Amino acid sequence: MATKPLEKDFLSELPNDIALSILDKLDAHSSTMVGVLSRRWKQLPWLRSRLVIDIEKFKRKDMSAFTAATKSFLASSVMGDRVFETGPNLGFAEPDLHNLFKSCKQLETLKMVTCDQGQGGIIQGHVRNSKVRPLLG
Amino acid sequence: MAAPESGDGNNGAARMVTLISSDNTRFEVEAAAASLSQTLQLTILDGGGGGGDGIPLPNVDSATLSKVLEYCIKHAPAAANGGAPNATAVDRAELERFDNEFVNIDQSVLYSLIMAAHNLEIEGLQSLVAKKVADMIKGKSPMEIRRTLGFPDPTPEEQAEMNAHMLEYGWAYE
Repeated sequence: MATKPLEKDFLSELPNDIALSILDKLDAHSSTMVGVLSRRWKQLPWLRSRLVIDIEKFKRKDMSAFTAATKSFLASSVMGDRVFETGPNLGFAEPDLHNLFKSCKQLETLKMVTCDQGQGGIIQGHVRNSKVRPLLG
Repeated sequence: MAAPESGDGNNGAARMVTLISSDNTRFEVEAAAASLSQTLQLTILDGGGGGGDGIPLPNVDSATLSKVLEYCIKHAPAAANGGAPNATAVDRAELERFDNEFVNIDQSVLYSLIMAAHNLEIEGLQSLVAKKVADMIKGKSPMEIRRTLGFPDPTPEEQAEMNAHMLEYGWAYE
């Protein structure tokens, strides 16, 4: 299933570092949409070492779409040291977190901004296979 | 105390340098403006570009270079102030207005600018043109992105790939 190169257009001509600087100004949704234009642009968003996926940008404010997005980000990643930030006000239950960790074995840092994880206040993840290191904060 | 010596150039007219585009047009510009380019800065600090010499820029044509210099001349005073922390709101608003208008251009010109800003390492301009392209993409569907960026209508094969992309990245389409 080779991707046929598209017509010459300026996106195809841009060197990777410029392309990445453009992607850095896009959210996860838009930078994924560009991926439809060519195989290279499909890979590029995931070359970023830091990606903010903001739950506010999701119409469905549950974890399934969010986890799918995270999975996309990590599935084709070729670099280590992935930093991952959730947007503010993400509410989720413990099984969601478990699924996220399970799906994202390459994830090393997860920073959660004003997340509500229900009663209690202890996040317990079954993270045997994940690389997430405990973070203070 | 002593009267400033003439001929030293420090208090007189600003130092000028000459840049030569790929199509051999010469541009004389203040060193401070040209120095917004990291690539040119060292050469200029070393005293290059003065007199009849000129700095050749084999990757930048005259139309693009004149546009780049327009940006540099406008931004040089603020840059000389170390990013202009003490610039007034009016100054900043004026620069912003200039920037917005500056990138309101044909895509072919935009492409040349992107490459020139990259080759010459002009940080502010690199960021400005990247933001412009990002704004052209932001919040659009793949088909809208294609149209905005001047892609032809998709072939059946490309259409199939677009459908596959939608399946693979369903979350992004919601």
